[in-house]
Amino acid sequence: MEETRKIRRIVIFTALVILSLLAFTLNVCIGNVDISPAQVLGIVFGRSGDLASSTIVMDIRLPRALMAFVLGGGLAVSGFLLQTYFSNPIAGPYILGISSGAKMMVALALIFIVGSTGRSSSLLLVLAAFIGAIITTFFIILISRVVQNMAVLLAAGIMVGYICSAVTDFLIAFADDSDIVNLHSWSQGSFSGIDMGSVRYGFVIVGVSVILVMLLSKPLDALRLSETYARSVGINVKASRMAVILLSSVLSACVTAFVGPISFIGIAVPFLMRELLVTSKPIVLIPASFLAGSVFCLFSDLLARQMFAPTELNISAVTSLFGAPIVIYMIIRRHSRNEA
Amino acid sequence: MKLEKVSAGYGQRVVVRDASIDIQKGEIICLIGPNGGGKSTLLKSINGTLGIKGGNIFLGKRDLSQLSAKEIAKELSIVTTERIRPQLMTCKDIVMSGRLPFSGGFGRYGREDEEIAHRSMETMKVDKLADTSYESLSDGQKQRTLIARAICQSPRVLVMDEPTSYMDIKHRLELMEVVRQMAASEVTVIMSLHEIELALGVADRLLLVYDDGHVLVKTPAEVIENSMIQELYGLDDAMYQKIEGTLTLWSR
Repeated sequence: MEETRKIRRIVIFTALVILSLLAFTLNVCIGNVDISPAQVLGIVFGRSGDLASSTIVMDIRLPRALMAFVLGGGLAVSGFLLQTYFSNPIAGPYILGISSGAKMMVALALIFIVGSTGRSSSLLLVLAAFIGAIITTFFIILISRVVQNMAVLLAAGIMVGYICSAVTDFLIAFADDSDIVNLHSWSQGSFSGIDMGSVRYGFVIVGVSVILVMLLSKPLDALRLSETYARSVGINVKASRMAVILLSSVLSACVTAFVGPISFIGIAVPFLMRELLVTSKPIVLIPASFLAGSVFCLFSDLLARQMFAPTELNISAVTSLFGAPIVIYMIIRRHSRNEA
Repeated sequence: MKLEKVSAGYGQRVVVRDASIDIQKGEIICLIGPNGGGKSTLLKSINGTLGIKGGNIFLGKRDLSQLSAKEIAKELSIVTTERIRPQLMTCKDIVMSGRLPFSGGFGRYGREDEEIAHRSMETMKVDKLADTSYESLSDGQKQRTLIARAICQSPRVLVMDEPTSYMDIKHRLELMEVVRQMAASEVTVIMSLHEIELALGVADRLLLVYDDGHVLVKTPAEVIENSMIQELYGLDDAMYQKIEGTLTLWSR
């Protein structure tokens, strides 16, 4: 058992690393304009290539692929944290309405602050999204205190999500400023138009958060049993839970601020990793979820832009298409195992 | 471990009043009394989960309320009545989690931790179930796994709330033997029991928790001599006569 677990881990982690490299390469090499892999390689390493191809690779495809890599991973880790917090494997930033809350605040910030001052910055958007995410999260926690039932909690989250989305739609409909011309496509979730500046912010925010999450793996490990038992093995339960909420909010806020809400990665990926690795040990699952989230997001973005090229789908259309069936399977599995 | 005039309860409500006892190292203390009398409440206060409403609790020489969760974890381990639903954890994973207070920053275990976990599983006879998923264990096996987890934490004080729940008679008797062995190796055991006869048989002293919240500390012999069980549980004469013989037998 111990041995098979170890081998399983090595195989899965190797596969994840290879897949993420592969997905990343494909995302940079495939596009509406034909550029051969050799040329792409040349451009990335600063050799040769005409100006047009170079611009396409360096300013469009590379930042987009980097962003899909880092945000996909961040989203999966954010979902993992929420699942631990609510001890419910179907929890995630999108389904609990947290992404929508963040989206609403970003829309508000774009219209009222950016619209009136004409200045925008990545930091401002992330901050707005973070405030939205935190407010929604605490609202959901409040509901979870009143009703213990997990199904009710999810229903409440979905409703909160609808309300926030509705408000966002109103805002978009009534705002006719040219500054927010992209707001519509962004509010549906899309990686188009990502520049290197945003990528830098994304890497720093997600990178720091994921490292902090890794440092939390011991409290997360202990919390798998229950709060009482976690306390009895010396965990500061209150502080750990607060840290879990703040980090998951930062991660989902960062994603929402840059590319809009993305569905299902937060739920489906940690679930798949748990099943594949046959463990719920955080120190294993956090990096696995991150990598798998990256792979999932990279392939989804590739499909979103290539399936009906040159028309681009919003990314949630693709992640839902693959993610939702996984979640349905998961609910049926849990039900047949007779767990509430 | 020492309790001085401890009052315990939730919110405004005080459930147990003025509990005082000086517990020696390696002593076995059983809490008995009617349902809802406050045994669990008192145990939660003793293990630091619940703040106390009055008095003082000392763990060794130090005031329990001044200790951090980490410091308490290295001295005291618990078995609660709460039902846990961990996902994808084996019996061994659960037992190993008792080593968390001694593990490294990321919750990684060393070889010594593995050995202690294995011994604890053997003690509670769950070593053959090590790789079985916790969810698929029977209720009795789950209970034994949780007790093995508490033993695995190498505590100086073991606090258990109804540890015999879900167990059949053989495992109950075996648990009493385990408790005796732990006490012999200087572990203090404080537990609540529904089975008065087991409590009379194993305990050095009994902590009688009455319905109205007052608490008495007596030896098993005193309890039997003064027929204290009758008043504690509010039994009528006919009821008590039925069980008196059994109780006397067990308390020897």
